[in-house]
Amino acid sequence: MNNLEKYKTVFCESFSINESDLEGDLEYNSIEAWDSVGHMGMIADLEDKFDVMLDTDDIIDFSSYKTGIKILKKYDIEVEL
Amino acid sequence: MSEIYKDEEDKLFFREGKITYLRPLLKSDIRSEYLSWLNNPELNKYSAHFRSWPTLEKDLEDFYNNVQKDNNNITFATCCKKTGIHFGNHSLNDIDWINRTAQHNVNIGIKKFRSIHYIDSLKTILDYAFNTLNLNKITGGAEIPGTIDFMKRFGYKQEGVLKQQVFRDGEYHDIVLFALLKEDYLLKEKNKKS
Repeated sequence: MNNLEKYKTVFCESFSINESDLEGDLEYNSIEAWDSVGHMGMIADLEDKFDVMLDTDDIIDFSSYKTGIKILKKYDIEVEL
Repeated sequence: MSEIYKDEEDKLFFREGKITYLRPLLKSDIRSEYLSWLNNPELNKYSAHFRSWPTLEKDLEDFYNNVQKDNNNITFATCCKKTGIHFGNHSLNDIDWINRTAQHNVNIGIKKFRSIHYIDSLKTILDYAFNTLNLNKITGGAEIPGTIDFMKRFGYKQEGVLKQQVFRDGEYHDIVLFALLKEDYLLKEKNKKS
């Protein structure tokens, strides 16, 4: 599984959505599942899958599917769309 | 505490983070919703005090009146920047001005604010504790599973375990004690900037 597949899987499993829901740019609070509580579950899953610990500022800044890709880049994790 | 801000609560803040801010408690914060936080068994599952005894409106009024007289305990209302909603309180308690220590307590009354808003406001109060009050050590304790893993993000370290310290749901439970030193906090902040 490449990084993009892993990244998509985290979103789909955390928020119980389909890959097609990720087209465009899924944003925090744009769906019911991605609320403040769902956010931390997704971050925990992401950290587990990519073996990384995000800084608290990055957790707060992680406001959309695409923004998350830029944030992961800071941790040398390349997710090619 | 002055009431001059009463009509301008949205402009009243003491410290701000990215998405939350801390402000002094106001008399108007003593409302039925606040009282409901303190009596809700689900929200207070891990608070030995609040889950055991009902909290009355008078208790809140007494608390409010005492907060203003006590320099060794500082309490802030914690609010969402976007909506102005007061969703919880952060407090620094039992401040020891000689040894520069304090205990940090938090109560987030509205569930949806219990993650990123909590993180943001925690950063703000820690910054205030270390960089304004010049405290050297912030302590805390929790019965909640996984709390210490979460607190490590901020540089907290586990200091011990109080075995069978609290009685809940018919069983005794341990309390994990953890603490954050100013030097560890500043090191984390420095590493972020470099």
